[in-house]
Amino acid sequence: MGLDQNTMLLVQPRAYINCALYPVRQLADLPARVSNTVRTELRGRSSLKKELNLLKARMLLESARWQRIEALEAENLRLRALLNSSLQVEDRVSIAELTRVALDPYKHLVTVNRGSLDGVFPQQPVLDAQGVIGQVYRVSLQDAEVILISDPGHAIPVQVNRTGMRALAFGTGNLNRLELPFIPNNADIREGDLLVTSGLGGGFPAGYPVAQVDSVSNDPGRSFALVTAQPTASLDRFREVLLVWTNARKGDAL
Amino acid sequence: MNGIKFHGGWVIFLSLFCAFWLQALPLPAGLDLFRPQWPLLVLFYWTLALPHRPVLLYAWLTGIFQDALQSSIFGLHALSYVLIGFLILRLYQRLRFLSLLYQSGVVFVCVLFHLFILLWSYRLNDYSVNSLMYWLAALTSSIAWPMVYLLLRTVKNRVNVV
Repeated sequence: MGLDQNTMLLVQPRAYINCALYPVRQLADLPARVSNTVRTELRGRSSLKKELNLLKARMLLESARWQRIEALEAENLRLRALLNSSLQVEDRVSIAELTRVALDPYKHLVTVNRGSLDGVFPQQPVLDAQGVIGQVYRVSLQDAEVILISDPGHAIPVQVNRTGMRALAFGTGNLNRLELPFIPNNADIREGDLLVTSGLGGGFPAGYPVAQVDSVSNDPGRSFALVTAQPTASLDRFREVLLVWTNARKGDAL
Repeated sequence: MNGIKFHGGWVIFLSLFCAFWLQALPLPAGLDLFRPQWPLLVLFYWTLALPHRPVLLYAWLTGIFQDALQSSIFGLHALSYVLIGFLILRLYQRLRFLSLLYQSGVVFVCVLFHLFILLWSYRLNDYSVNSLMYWLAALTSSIAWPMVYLLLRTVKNRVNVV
């Protein structure tokens, strides 16, 4: 156990054993997949139509926003070129699907169906459409375990979007709550502030939404304010996730 | 013990495979706590039924595999399974004569012990396991025991596992 805790020696054997357990995981995932298929097959025409309309409307809105963003991105690049700083804006992204497997009920871990064969690596950031979900924890050949940002052992460097103040967001073991324990009492942070990844530490690319501050309480007896935040991604309901490859790792001159 | 021929080892393998499958089967969030410790139950049966086999080795291997499956630290389940396996190995002659109900009681205590070792690891890693519901698995395991016992005994006698 000490060997596993303190060294990297057992990473490879664990990957092999995980490969041997691959059929178990696939079989365990089977009922969820079958019920999912059945549900999609049995959906009525009217509900499909409704969904189609909804998606069309949203598509229109998004593409309108996208036009603006492209212009902004171009402008941003131009300004950065003027400042002589090189920031990779494009991140390579790949979609992975959740394997419904019960891991340890007290740890916030999920399994996804991409592994080292697909180029997934440990500490790779994992997002969904609404924000950061977590990072890759362990990789085997065909699947990988993702640790959620709500795991008590996880911390993520964030930044308040409004003021640019940097902080660390710790998981609490509760899916809907992160804690920011080291915010000074007089810091400018309010309810409703959006926390985005700061890109410090090199793990996560900068600028992805993480959580929204939902309570700030100042206790004069304590040296730090009590700040909690709610993750923007719905950590208990996602089915597909995005794995991100960033090239910002090398020569990141912010 | 070289005089005894082993037979039907694949049944043990298959039963453990099924136990792993049941352990990994996703359940709705609330029901997760009611999940019996399937691999432990299956190991318990085989230790009781075939103590002349190298059951402690089986226990250790099962533990290692379960550590990989549940992504816990390597050796945690293995440690607990080997300890429990050793206990049963010392007591199997007495345990065999107990009725199913009393055996369930012993299973209850063993699973409590197992959960206790897991809890120790949780607390060391700052996971908050702060409800009594945590111990429910011991109760459900002891309820599931007669079922596992009867099923595995039927299979064992049918296939003649030695």
